[in-house]
Formats: sequence, structure tokens, C-alpha cells
Amino acid sequence: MKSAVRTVVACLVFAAAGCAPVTLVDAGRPVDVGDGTSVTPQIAWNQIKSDGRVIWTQNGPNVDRIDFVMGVKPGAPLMALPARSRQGVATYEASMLPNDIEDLVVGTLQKQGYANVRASSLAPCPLGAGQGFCFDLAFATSDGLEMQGKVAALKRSESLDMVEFMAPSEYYYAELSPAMGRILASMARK
Amino acid sequence: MTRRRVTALAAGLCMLAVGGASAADRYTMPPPGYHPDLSTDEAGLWMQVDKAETDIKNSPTLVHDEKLNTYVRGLVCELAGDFCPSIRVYVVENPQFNAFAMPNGAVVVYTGLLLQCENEAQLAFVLGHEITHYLHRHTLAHLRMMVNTTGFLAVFGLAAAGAGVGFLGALANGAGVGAIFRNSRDEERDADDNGFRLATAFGYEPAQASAIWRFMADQEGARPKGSPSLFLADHPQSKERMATMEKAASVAEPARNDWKVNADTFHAATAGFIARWSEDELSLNRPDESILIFRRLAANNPSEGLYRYALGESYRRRNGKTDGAAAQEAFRGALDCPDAPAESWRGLGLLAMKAGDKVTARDAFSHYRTALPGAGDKAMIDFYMSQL
Repeated sequence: MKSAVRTVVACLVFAAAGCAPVTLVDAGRPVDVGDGTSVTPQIAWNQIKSDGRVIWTQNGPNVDRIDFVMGVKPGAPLMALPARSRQGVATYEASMLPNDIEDLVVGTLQKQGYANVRASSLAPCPLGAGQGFCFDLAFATSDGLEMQGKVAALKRSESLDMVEFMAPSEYYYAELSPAMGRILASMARK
Repeated sequence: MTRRRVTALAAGLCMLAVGGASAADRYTMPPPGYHPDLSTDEAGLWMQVDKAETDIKNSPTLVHDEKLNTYVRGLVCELAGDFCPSIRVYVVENPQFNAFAMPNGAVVVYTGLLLQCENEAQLAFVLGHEITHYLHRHTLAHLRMMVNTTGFLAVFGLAAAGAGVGFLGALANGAGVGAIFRNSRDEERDADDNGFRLATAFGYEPAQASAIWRFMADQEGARPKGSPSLFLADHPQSKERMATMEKAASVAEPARNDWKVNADTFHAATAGFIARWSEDELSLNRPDESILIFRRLAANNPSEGLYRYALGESYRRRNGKTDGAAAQEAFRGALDCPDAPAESWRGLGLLAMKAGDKVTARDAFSHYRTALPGAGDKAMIDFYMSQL
């Protein structure tokens, strides 16, 4: 019965993901999330790989999602954007301070079509064994849903690793936040 | 209706009769309180537009501040006169310079327009323009033509094409809204002409109309090719409008010597939002344009530290060869103003830290921590200081 439910959820997520292949990530085992980094989830997640990036979701990527944006090189944007939004998109630079990266994330979300994007509570925070920084997000989707998010990032010499979590403010964000926290704590380099 | 309003409306109607005969011939004004008969195709169009208006009412981007809404609505009502009850005004938080009128009398004003106007007169000319679109039923004619050609779904599907998620997406993105509620260039010229008459009839300084198009023309120059501003997307070129408005102003100006701009009233109504709207503008990540906007606003409002701070941030975020020095000058200028945001110290600290100037960085961050002990990023700033 449990596997049938999993299959149905995976099918629904598949439909919501716009037909990108969806796989199931089991709890308790390290999973490669890109650029030599792995995390160990405490609960199972649906995984979508899109544009070389790894996305995890419980209820579909249009509801909640964790984007693993690993190994961003200088001159590259943080997220893949539709062609009409690419003009003027800011890119990551190695000299950026955490405040600059916070601005970069806000600008990128605006470009992705989210409204009233606000970042707050920028602070140092651990990412696995590394010292990174975190900040919170509040914004609305373009169809009016109020969302919350959390970004954790870590600079590794020239490149940037970033994990971005977002979910509706109502119910989902609080529900999934502890799982997100455990994922960040489990981050490890190969 | 006050005596002042009757006089102004009479003056406006006289000017319409003299200068706008062709417009009056071409466009039919609905009577005040107009609602189309249910048996007409227009009623169907209104039903769709009413749904879009409901989306706006429920949008998280709608600004609910009563004082600000009362101010903007009051200005619209002054200009619209007897038509005021037919018009609903919605202030929407969106950093683009834009406003649009819907065929059912809903007028949407983006906060980017309020940020970029310098005084009430400039806002009055833009609102007069939008009120004219409604009164002369410009948008309705275009919408009817589109629906007759392609059907309801295709028309309102344009919003989805613009932003991916229906009308609210179009509202956030702006481009989709432009596709639905667009007007021909002749209609835009008519809206310019009549908007000018409405605003000058109420004593707003004629030169302020061309001032808007002057700064829009400057900003257009800073935009990448092929991405005109939303407000200008289907409008005659800014330079053409500027020339037309300058000519109209030179004719109208001798008529009185007590023209008003109401800069103080405008600033009183918007002051509480400048910090937030400036952040919205900065988040668009178009530093060339932001620099023009904040340089103009800072120059015309020399006591406004918020504009200087935002100018400094625009330079700091652009991060070009000479931008560090320009940002520093803007932040220091902001700190000389009575309303200096504490974030100006943070800007100075970040600049100095990147430049390797540890002493200046530590001093600036220390000022920031003192001036804003509850800053949201205090833990990060403390971390920076521990590294210096």
C-alpha cells in the first residue's frame, strides 16, 4: 500500500514538474546533489533533475521545493531562466560578499516572476562541516500565493554552493523546515 | 461639487470644445455611473474584466495603506469630476513605471510610478492620461476587436503568454497587462492631449507634463534595445511626447500665474514608502536605469537621504570601474541628510571591506551597528568585523 501511495505521489509530481523525469530519493542514505556534494535526507523526497540542477520536492515543485545550486562559477547566473527573462540578469562574482549574494538571489527571484521579494536575517550558519551563511525570504508567486523561503550558501574558493528552499507560508513552510534543516546539517563533500 | 471643481471642469470642457473637437467626435464618453446593458457584447467584455479586477483586489501586491489610497483616489476623483464614482483605483506594489485603465473603470497605479514622480502635478498628468483611456473607451475598442477576432480565452490567454500564470501573473510581470489593455498610438496621443487638459484645468503646472517624458526618454536610453518601459510600450516615442507637451505647455502657461506642483503634498503622502519602493527598484537589477532615477530624485530632493542611499546602492551593485567612488560619495551624501538611513554606513563598510580598507570598514560597520542595533543582518556584520 505504501509503495502504491509513493507511486501515485511520484506520478502527480511528474505531472507538476512538466514531465521532467522524477525519481524517488530514499531517507537515510547519502545522495549526490552535484559538484561533489552529498546530503542525507531524513525523509524520502521526489527528485527532479533539470538544467543540470537537482530539485527535491514533497508536493510538486510548484508547491514546495529545494533547489541544490552547486558549483556556480563566476559569470554564471544562479538559476536557469526562461529566454525572455535572461536580459539583464545578474551573475555570480567571486568577490561577492554574503550581502551581495543576498541581493543577487532577490534579483534572480524577481526575474523568475516572483513578486515583492524580501530577504531578511542574513547570518553566518554552518553547512555540514563548512561555515556558510543563511537568510530568509518572503515573497509572492505570480499567481498570488504567499511564500517563505530559506537560502543557505557557502563559498568554495571561486565557486558558490547554494541550497534554496521555498514553500507556501501557510502550513507547508513550517511543516518542511525541520527536514530542510537536517538536510543542511548533513551536507558533506566527497 | 465644489465651486473650484465646477470652474476647473468647465475650463477643461471649454478646452475640450476648442482644442479637442476631433477627439470628442471620435470617442464616446460613457455617462457617469455607466454599466453596459446585459444584452450587449460589451457586458460580456466587462464580465471578463470584472474577474481580472477581482484578481487585483485579492492580490498580495495590492497596497492597502488607507492614507496612500485616499490620496491617490482623491487625485483621480478631482480629475475625473462627475465620473469619480465610476472609477476604482488600485495601488499595486510593482517597481515598474506604469499605470493602466481597464474598460470597466478600474485604474491600476504601480508603486514604481509613485516612486519616480517628483510631485503631484506629474502624477496628475499620468492619471489624467489613464482616466482619458477609460472615458474615451480606448481600451474597450481594442479589447472588442481582439475578442471578435480571437475569442475570450485567447485574449485573456495573452496574460498567460506574458507571464505564464493568468492575469495576476500578467499584473506582476506587466507585459501581459500591456498586451490586454493596449491602445493605439492615436489613442495614446488623445489620452496625452486630454490628460493634459484635465490636469491643467485643475491648475497643475503644464511644464510638468513634458518633465515626465524627458526623464522617461533619458531612462529609455539606459535600457537594453528592444525592452521599452511598460508604460511606453505602445505609446508614441518619449521624445515626440515631450515635444508635444512642451508645445502645449507654451500655449497654456500664459493663461495663469498660479500653477501648482504640490510637491509637499505628494511627498507627505509617499514619504513612508520611499525606502520600500527604492528596495523594489533596486531588486530589478537594472543599475544603469536605477542610477538615473535616483540621481534625478536626489538632485531634486536634496534633503532626501533615502534617494542618496539608493543611488549609492545602485552604484555599489553595478560594481563598475569607477562605481566604488561614486557609491562612496552617494553614501556620504546620504549621511549628511536628516533622514539618512543607517544602511548607508553598511554600504560604506561593504565597499571598504572589498577594497581591503579594514580600518574604514570596521569604523563604518561599527557606526551601522550603533545606528541600527536591531538590524536584521547584525550577526553577519559582526562576523565581518571579526574577520577584519
